Amino acid sequence: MDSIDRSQSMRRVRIRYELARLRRALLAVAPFVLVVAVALRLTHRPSSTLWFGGLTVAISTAMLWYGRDWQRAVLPGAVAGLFPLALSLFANGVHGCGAGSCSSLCVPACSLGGIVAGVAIAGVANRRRAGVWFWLSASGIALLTGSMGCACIGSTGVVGLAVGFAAGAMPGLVRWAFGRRAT
Amino acid sequence: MTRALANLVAQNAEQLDTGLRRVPFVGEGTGPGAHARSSTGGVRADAAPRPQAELDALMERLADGDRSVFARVFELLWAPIQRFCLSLLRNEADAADAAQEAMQKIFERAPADYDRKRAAMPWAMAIAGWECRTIARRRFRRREVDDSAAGELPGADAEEALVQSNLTRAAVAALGELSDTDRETLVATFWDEAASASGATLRKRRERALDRLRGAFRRLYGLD
Repeated sequence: MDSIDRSQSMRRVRIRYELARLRRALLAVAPFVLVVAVALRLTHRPSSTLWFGGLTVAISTAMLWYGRDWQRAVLPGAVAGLFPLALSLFANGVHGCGAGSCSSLCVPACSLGGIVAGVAIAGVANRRRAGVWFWLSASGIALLTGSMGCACIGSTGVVGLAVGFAAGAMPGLVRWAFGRRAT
Repeated sequence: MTRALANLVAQNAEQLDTGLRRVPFVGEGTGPGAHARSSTGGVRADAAPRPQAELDALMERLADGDRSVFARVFELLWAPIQRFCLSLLRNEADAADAAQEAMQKIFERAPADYDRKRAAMPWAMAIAGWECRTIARRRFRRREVDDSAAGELPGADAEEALVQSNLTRAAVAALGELSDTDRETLVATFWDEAASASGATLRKRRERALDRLRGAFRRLYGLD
């Protein structure tokens, strides 16, 4: 075959490769769509849940399609984010979150969930000796997942989640940073 | 006997391939393209060519999502796959179709199906082999082949017989490259017959014979 055939062939092969990765990403993210559906059912503020859920699904799909550290971060991030999501939805259900009425329960729930998520991400990253991109992408997915529930009281819940996450991840992050410097 | 052995090799091609992959590659380090008569009269197998090790590493990166290696993996696979398809199908147009489809499937399956513990080239060749088989069946259905080639194996389905006859032809050619000792060893392997050696000596000869058979296939069907 001549070089034109070869380059055409390479182009077709590349398209098949990318489509295969995209199909695989969509398949992998499908269970998370169920999580979003459940969260929408339980939350008292569906608009913010839908917004964060849609964003999480879109970003996760892109990361899974791209591959490498980004792909490896999706599952740990999503699982870690389930802790703050579950706690905030529980607080939602118990307390009926609305603006100004649930700082005593929802914010602590989000902060506690954030701490657990941070510890979980730090543990996975250190065990895998993961790189910076893993940290960033897993943390992002965890925060977006948790925000589906923590946004029930607006930005206060999300900030509480973020602060808790940072507190939980910090020791692991420091250990990771010192470990990299040593090597 | 050689014909019968070739039939058996062809019928067990998949298991033989698996067995070959498990056998450590004898003769590594002798340099690419180097083969010489050994003291037993056999042909010493080629060393594992460096592109194979490079391909394994690059295929792993490609499966992981590293697009920067895409062109190099394509380059390493393109020519061998084409030669392999042409050697099986013996028709340029069909071989081109098979090679094109095989390349697409190899890259499509790499992220999900490529086993990082296995060598990439045999995996890719297996996919190419299946594409050739599909095209051979399609060609047979179009009645573009001589029916006399289809009924060589008595009692077999005609299409399957055509595919099997192609494999047998390939096996005969590869077995023709081996020494009498290697052929005797393979007969003992496939028929559990008594050989002139036993125990550890037979095992060692079997490993070398299978390895040289693999090397012969590689040389004949354009995998080097």
